[in-house]
Amino acid sequence: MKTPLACLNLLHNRVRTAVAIAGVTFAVVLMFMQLGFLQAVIASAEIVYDDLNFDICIRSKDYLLLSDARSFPAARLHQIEGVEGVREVIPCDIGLQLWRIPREMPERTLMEQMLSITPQTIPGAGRSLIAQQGEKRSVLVIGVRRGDRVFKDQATHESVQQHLLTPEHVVIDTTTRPEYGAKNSREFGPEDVGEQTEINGQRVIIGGLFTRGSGLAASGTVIINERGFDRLILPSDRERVTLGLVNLKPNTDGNAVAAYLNKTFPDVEAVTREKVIKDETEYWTEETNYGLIFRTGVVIALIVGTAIVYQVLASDISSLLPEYATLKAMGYGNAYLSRVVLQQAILLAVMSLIPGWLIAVGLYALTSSVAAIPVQMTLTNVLFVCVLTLAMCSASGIAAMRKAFQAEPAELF
Amino acid sequence: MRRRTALAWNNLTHDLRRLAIAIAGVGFAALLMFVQLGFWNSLLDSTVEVIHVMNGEVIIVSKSKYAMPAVERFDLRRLQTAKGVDGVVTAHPVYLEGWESLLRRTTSIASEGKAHRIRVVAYRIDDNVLSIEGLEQHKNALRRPQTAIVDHLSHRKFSFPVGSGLNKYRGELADRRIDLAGRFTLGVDFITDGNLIMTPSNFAKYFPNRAFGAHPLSQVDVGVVTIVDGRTPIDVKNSLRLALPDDVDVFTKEEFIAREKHFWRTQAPVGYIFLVGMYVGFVVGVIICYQIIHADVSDHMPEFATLKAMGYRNGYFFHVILCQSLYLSLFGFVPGLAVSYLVYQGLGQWTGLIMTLKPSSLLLVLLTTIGMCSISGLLAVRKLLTADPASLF
Repeated sequence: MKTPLACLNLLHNRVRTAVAIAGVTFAVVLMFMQLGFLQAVIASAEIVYDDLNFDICIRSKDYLLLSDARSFPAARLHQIEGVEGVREVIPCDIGLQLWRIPREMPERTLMEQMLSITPQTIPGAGRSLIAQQGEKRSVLVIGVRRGDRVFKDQATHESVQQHLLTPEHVVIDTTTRPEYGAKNSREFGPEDVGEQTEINGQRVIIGGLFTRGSGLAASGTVIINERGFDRLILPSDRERVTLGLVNLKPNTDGNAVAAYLNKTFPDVEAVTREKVIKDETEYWTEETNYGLIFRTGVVIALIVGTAIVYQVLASDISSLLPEYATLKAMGYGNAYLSRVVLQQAILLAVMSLIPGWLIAVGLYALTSSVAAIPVQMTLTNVLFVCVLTLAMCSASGIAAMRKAFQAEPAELF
Repeated sequence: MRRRTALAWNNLTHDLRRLAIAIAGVGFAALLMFVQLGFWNSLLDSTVEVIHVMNGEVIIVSKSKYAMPAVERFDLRRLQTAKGVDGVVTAHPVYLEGWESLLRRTTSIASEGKAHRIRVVAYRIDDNVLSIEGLEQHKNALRRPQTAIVDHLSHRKFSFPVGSGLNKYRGELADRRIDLAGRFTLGVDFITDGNLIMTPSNFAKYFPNRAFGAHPLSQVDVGVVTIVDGRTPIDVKNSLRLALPDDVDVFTKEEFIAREKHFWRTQAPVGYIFLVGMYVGFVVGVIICYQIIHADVSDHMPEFATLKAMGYRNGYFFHVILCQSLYLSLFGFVPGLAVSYLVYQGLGQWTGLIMTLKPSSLLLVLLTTIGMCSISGLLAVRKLLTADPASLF
């Protein structure tokens, strides 16, 4: 009984096994990709908030999403500072503004984007432009007071402290799309420091860098100091603020403080960190079409994945049918055959998951760099795909096995 | 020798259950490609639909308007200038607001409805600047103050009443009361979740500050130019370009649509995601087809070997396998197409996005399916060609 039949079956015809693994691997890749896209929508919804330092967020009643947050009177924040349990209140302005592209930007081929190569501009042989000098693009602008601890990330915080010296200085996210004017056409980096351009027609100077990501609403982010932000907006809006970041004293119940703030200041909304992230995710997955489309993608990937795995296993088993029939004739029961086929299915699943995972990691990195969207291999993705692949393989194995059960040993030769 | 035995056909139809599975496999590959291609096309088509319905051959926009959602406007006087240019019949303004236009339903059972952004489109209804389905019957109603009509493809989150309940709708647009007089069809995209149409005079009341103090209608989002019969759009565009100052851009309608699509294809992050999805769809399709044909050829190996031993040439096997691949791709394509059609209908209904099966997508998927099946067949047949008949049993 100790012959590892499932293993030997797979090892016996290596070409066939390789083809089967390739098939299942692609089903795995397909699922990973669609799942990754869905997750990227969620991740980009959270990306900016993740780095903001707050327990409770104060925002306008009309708040829609981070890039369209509306505003409320700044005076509210001073009143909230005095509330029991509140340690500090940090004002933070956020909004989409218009960034002027400081130079002509050549279009890059997909290959250049994937390999992250600087386009070689051949003098005379004109390459088509992706953006003209002076064209405008939406940029997410975050306005902060220089002394405040607005960003949790130490490098970002230090960059803000060091570089936002005047209202004209900005620090720019290195994940900002290169066509916003990166000097090397590839990525904003140290050589862009000192570069001048305009936001909403006001002069700004790139003073430094940070790295975060802007999400789906914008393709670039800059941080500017509070007085700098005021230059970009209407004078009537200068007494207003977009967000109030509230940090609590230790051992304070956030929900209770939020409830109290909502009752006391009915013209604003006080929202706990969990709810802020949940609202933002819900906006992108429920209120826009992205969520539905990528969910449809995941479902179709599953159906197609199952179809591939079934194909692979069914053809594998039917080619071994004479051998199974021999075993049957020798007196082995259906239970034994089931075990062998299931083992084989699971081995196949495991052997396909590993290359599938590797390819998906590569494709994730590629999509992240080309699309500037955070597609990450999360543990949830891995577990989800593992469980589904094992389930698909087992189910297909069982379905394919029925043939072996029904067959009369004598008929099979 | 009877050459006319339909071997390829008989091979396929011999085992109907196997055929059904193979068809399902190829069908799914086609479905996968159709759906990814459909999302990709809908990203581009839905975004340009509002340009598509404009009744004009030449479009004028602000120099800074790099894409339709960008809030960049130009002075109405540019259209006055345009009207005087040779070859121009008339130039109409189209006003768009997708930023300040917060719509809140006030009759919802939840005490205070949440506000959502909706795109408001305003133009002189009598001038037929846009050809909008369902607009004609609402022309009189639109002349009333604080009245708009609503796109029935708008997102569910707006909770517009269905059927005849529309006149009971109570809502506020930019904090002013709005009544809904009827429905039209335009469609949403990845930025816009719903549409309202109203007259410019109503529009000016809802968004008084859009021109920063000047008259709200003095700043135009898109200018739609109709041209004299017998002149080409390119020709008139060139005349307009010479006549107008540098703060506006002039395009023929086709150029403008192409430019907008190009922006979404190359610069919107979501464009890349669908592009990658589409490529992965193609690769997976090839793999499925290869699996199926390969399994089929391997299973018939003894029969092929017999034929080989009988003296049939390699060319004959090529022919048979290619025929078989072709039949299989066609058999698989038809149900794949039928299911995709239903999926497109369902997604279009559910999201309000434009999901149309274009002839070009049809052809692309058909050719790819045939190509995939043929390549897979050729790969699978290699084994047979090189093998010694005797060793095949």
